Amino acid sequence: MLLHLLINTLIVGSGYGLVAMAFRLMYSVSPFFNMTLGAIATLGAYTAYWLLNLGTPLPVVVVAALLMSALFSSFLEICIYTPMRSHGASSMILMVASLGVYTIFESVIHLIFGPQYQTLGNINGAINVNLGFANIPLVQFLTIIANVVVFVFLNYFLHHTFTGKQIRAVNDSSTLANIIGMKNNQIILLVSILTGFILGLDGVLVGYDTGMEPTMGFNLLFKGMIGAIIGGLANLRGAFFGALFLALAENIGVLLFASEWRDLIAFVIFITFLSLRPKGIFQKKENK
Amino acid sequence: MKKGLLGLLLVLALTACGEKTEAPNENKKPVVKIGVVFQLTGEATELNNNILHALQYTFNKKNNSSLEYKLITEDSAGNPIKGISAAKKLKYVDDVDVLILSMVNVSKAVAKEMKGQDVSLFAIVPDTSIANGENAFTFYAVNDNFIKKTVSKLNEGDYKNIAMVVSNYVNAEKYAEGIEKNYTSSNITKYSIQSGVRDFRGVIEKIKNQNHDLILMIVRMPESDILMKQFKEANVTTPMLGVEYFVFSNHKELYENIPFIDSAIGDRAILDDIMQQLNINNEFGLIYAHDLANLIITTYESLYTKNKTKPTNSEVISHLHNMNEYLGAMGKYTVTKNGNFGSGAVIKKIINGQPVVVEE
Repeated sequence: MLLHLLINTLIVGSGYGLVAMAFRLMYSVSPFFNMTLGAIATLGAYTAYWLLNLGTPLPVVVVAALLMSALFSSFLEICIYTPMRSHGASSMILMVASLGVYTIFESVIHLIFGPQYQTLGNINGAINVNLGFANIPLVQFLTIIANVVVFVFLNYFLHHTFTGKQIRAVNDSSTLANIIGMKNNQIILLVSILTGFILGLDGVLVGYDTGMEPTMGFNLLFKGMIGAIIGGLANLRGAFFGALFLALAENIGVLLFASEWRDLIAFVIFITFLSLRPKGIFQKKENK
Repeated sequence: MKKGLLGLLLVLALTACGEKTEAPNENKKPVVKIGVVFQLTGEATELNNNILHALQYTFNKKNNSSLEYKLITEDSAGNPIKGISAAKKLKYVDDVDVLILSMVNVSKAVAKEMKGQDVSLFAIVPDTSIANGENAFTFYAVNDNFIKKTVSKLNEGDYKNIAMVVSNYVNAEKYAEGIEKNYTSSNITKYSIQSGVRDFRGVIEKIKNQNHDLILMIVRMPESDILMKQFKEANVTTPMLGVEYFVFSNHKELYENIPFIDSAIGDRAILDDIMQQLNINNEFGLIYAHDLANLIITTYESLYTKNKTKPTNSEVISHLHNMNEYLGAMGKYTVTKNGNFGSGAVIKKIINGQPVVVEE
């Protein structure tokens, strides 16, 4: 039972982790609660769905879904958020705008694809991976791998590349970064593209694992956001481990009580951390 | 001069606005107006539209009738407040004689709002509490018959430890309550499934660890599809018994050969005719639409034949309450004192992607 609890935690936590890392990355340069991140993941899933129905080979489908999500993310950044920021829009205004965009997007997906629950691939034919101690479906195994790979890649990118350091500079102080001649808007655009890739990947994996529907984006974003906040928005490992912690708490709750407690547990943890430790588990040390 | 011209124009305008009088047409049939409040936007739109088209088809197909039947449609969008507005508009503006409703939440709200009003109300829903013994009736497979069939099926097997997986949805909960009340031969453990949740691995682990000998699935879509998928991924091989929700799945291959309780298929020829004429693939609700339309027609026609005049709404309501049973294409409907028209339940299986009756 404990083994299965840990495996479930790893699987669910990895799904949350991808969104948490994308949320954290975007928030680091554009600090507002961006609801369209959920729409970007949904677009990845539905792009894959559409292309698979046309008989497109799977590798092409995955690449196209990621590209589509990245393009959509950059489109939103160029056409909506950058102009709003340049006109002095506050975080609240940006959040409300993102909610509007999300609502429009959800309605469009609903109109084009219908409200029905859909899956990618054969719902009845999961391929399992034998880990020795357990058999898990291939897509769940890939989700765990993807989460780790994205974490390792982002860590390296942010700490060992020039662009990564620029991103961290904007995160630390966008005003100072601007003063020293960095082009903040370009940095934010680059981050939005990167975020789009990660969310597109998550959308495709979720589409294969638990299926999709037009409203899926909000749930994905909500859990990822909570994971990022629990872990701490100050750094990437906060998002990675925060998501795992959230998944563990939820799974323990389901085991001890009932599955109805899942979202309640997530909310309780969220409120508790906001109240008692708003900077999350991995708080950034402040220089005094 | 100008004043005179203005005056003349005014008189002409007033004359033009006067009431038109038609030459009396003795052959004009009295019209029975039927207001339909269905969810035509949002979820379940396809099913609601199919039932609406089946209603229209059956009413239009009626030949040699003494009365004319006119359908007026409004969209509830699945929202009780919109449903009430739509029903009121149909009654007080369009002056309908009958209201036909879908969706439990909308039907409940409208039935409560329109209680005692001069209109008969039919809800094509399984929640029998909507029928109020006055002007509101339900017309569907009733939970009670489904529960009896389920309990009978459970009694056939020698089950010691049943897992009952239930959606947190009113009708599913009521169904589960009915089974718990009427089946006491073995231990039943209830697992509640929340709408909107997509990961059931924790629940599945719990079910696996309890060594149940039967899993009773009372789970709506799409949670049922996801649950079945995850059951297969977790290699759960415990026998299962389901209820009608299986037929709503777009992935029926998940339920191949699993028995489930559902309403009878009804007269296949009538069903095939409706599906072919309307180009509909999903047979859900079509026979109920056909039977309800025919119930309304036969009620009005029989009262018209008797009284030689279009029956009043209270005459229609009284007539309906005096019925003990009704024979439709779905078979015999039992009629309760409260006004529930309920068809019977059968056992079906999905075989090669199609629901097939395996036990009456």
